[in-house]
Amino acid sequence: MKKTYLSLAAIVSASFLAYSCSCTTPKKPVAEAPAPVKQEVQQPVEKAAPVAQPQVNEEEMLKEIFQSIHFNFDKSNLTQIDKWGINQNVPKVLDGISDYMAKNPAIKVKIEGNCDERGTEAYNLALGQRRADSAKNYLVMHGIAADRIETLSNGKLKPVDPAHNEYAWAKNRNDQFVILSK
Amino acid sequence: MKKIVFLVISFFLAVSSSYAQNYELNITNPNYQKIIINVYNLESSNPELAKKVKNVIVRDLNMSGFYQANDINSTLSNPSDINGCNYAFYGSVSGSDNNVILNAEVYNVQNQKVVINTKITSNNFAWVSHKLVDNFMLYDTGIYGPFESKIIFSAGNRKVKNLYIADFDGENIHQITHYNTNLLLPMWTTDNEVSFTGYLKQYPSVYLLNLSNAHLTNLYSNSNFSENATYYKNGLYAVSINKNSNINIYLVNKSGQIEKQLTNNNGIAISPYFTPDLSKMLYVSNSEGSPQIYSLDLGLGVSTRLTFDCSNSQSPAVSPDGTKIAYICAGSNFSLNIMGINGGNSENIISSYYIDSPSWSYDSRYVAAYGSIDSKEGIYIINTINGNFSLAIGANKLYSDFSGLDVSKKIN
Repeated sequence: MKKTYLSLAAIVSASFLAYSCSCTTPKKPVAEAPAPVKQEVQQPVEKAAPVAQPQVNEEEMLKEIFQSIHFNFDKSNLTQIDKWGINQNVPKVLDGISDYMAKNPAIKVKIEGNCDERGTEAYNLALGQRRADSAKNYLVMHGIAADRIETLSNGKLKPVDPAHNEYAWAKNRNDQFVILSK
Repeated sequence: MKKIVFLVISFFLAVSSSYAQNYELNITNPNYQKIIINVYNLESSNPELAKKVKNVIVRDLNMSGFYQANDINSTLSNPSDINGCNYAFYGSVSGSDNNVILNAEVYNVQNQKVVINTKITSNNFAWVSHKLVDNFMLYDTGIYGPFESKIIFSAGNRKVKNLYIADFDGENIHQITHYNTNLLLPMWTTDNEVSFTGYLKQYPSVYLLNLSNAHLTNLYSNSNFSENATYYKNGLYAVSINKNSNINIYLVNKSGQIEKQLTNNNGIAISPYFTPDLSKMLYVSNSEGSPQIYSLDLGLGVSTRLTFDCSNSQSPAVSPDGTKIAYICAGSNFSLNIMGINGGNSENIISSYYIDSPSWSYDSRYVAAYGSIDSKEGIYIINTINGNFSLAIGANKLYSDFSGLDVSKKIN
């Protein structure tokens, strides 16, 4: 009986979530919100702070080094981007990544190529792959072994910003770096 | 494999008890003078069945973009009394949902004579209606109608999309896969097999799904990227594959072996589509900077660029009569264009915020495509002769996003 109630609750929750997701009003992805809450609850334990601090710093440092790189519309070349709220020297970011990977030979990464919504499904899938490969080839040319880098195209399936304007599209034309092992 | 809820052959003729009646009709070309048709109640000892058959007749006639069907809530006793319309549909229905006999007549009001008197039987109530409308279109336009076909489409949300099959008019929808990932860009490869691009493993890869036995084949797995499996002939499929950071089109056999490389570009070559006589392959390449449509002469091995007027030409589809190419001009706004098979004479049919995956009906007059035409997301049937369009399948809470569709050949 208990299982039945749990199942019912799960179905109702899932239905509610599914319904929420189906609304046409653009929303932030549901999964993004809850993460920070748990960290705040654990912070009052003072003794843990000195140990936790370097980990947070390392995470932030890795986040900074392996930041997303951006692309111009319908392009996969690596260049300076200065448009629609994005100002980034892409080769410089990749130089930082290759330096770090050279010094940390255990690190393996996956590069996920993403596109804005202004193309067909088929073309954006291919363009996302070209963007991911473009960054991989840059790193390989700078001495990183090819078998330490995987590439994947998400096409336009994973927009960072679901809005329909130039600023959102500029954010969504990116490569994201996922660290697979350290 | 267990996750696939496959369709048995009988699916195509099976009855859907939940056959929905609601639809919206959107007209882009209000100046087009439509032919007025009165559709009268069908006499029957099974009024529920008669109502369903009649509703599909009305729906198909309206969706054709040529006709305005008036749903008349009475039977017709004397055709010579009719006025205010060009044609009248009436008759009787007997049997049950899965054994339907339709005796129908179509009366030409101006000439005062019966122009169609037919008996249609089927084990699917919708199919007798589709056949009647298709036969009427043959009488009225000289070309058999498009409604005896199926649309396969990908739909879901941003994270999960599965494959569905519906009648050409958008009704009778059946979900055929139940995966927890994205299945995109479905295409009919044979009468009983579809291809799609799926994230079933880690990377986007092309698969074949047999609709009779649910057998799933990963057509090409030796790359981290493949998409768009289009059937060529002799068990060969054209597939876009990533090799050495260039995406080109290869002929692959069912065992996953590459038999021939068809394009050799630096960049992207995707969306292969063969002409009906298999002499040419249309495809999209960005080898000259932006995506454009090219035609590869398979005998000579020479490619010719076909599009010049749009900076982002994508998703070509050749009409079954081999004379026209539908394609998408992408950008801040999208448009569905049609040009001659050798390029040129490009004509804009519809523009909207987004439109993708054009696919021709077997009569080479209609294009099915998905997008947000008229601010409503869904799959549309577009009459390329007069520009009228209808929403066939609207987005709902089960599927808010679409990612590809393909219309089948005529199903007998």
